Amino acid sequence: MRVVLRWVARAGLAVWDFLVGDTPEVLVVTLAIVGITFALRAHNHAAVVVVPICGVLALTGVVWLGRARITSRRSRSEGH
Amino acid sequence: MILGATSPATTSLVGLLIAVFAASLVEMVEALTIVVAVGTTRGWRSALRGALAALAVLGVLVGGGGVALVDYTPIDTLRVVAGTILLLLGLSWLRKAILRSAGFIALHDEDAIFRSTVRSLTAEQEARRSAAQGFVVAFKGVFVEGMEVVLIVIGLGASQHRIGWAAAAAGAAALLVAGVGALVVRQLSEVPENLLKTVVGVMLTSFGIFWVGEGAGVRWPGSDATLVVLVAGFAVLTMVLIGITRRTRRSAPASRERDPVPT
Repeated sequence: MRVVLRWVARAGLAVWDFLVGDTPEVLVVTLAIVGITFALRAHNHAAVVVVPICGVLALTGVVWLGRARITSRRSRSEGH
Repeated sequence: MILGATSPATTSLVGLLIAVFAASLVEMVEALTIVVAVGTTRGWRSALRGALAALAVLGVLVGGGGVALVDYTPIDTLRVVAGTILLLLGLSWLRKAILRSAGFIALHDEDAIFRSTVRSLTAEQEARRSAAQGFVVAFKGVFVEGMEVVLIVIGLGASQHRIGWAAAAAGAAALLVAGVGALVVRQLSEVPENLLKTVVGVMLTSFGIFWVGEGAGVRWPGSDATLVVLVAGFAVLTMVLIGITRRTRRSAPASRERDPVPT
């Protein structure tokens, strides 16, 4: 039983690392888009406009965060 | 059931085939680099056995998992889950491809992967362990690279009830890479990987948004035609973001850093 649990935990960690890894912001914006889509499901006209715009904002946001993270990592390493 | 009953001449089927084929091409080139490195250092027998074993496990995952999902899961639930996974992968691939194009992350270098795999394998000199180690490295390389393809095949295939088409496109890409790679293995680094990754990222993100919407009950205007608009829109946005991030990098030049996680 303990072995099975250990394997399940390892598999869970591997899936987490595979899907999320070092960019949790991608998971956050993805879940936000799904949530917004469900929130707007009763308002079709709004949904067909807002959901793609959310995708645009999500991509822009994760690229901007990635850029900022790399830049700050560099300036920290150059500071040392 | 496997190939689906609907007409193949639809926008989403063409998109599905292109996205799966291109994604498989990218990942299989990376996997082949590792297999060739194992083959040249530890022998082709263990390398090919490891690669074939990984392909078999991946095939079982697609066959078992994918078909079971299609048969036993309500289509709307399937579309939301598959769309979420596609969106997650698409945004990750696009993010990385844009940062690579702008020079914030070093471009993927197949030659470097080949050299580092060979180096790590030649460091281990125990003849008794060499075959087993070669098998493990080849298996792991193909399995890890192939898992993303499995998710894309299941995600795109299941959401449209076309697992068979998606698996066939992935298989065709794997065969193409294996065939061409066997002849021109040292030229693998010339495959425009980042461009392919950008194209696939745009398609996965568009499919992801489309299927999440469909699954949630959103009625897209023009149905599948919305996919074309989404793909075009994200392609333009990607080019704009590459341009902007390139410009900001030029204004603050710094040393290039290596991509810590090869995908």
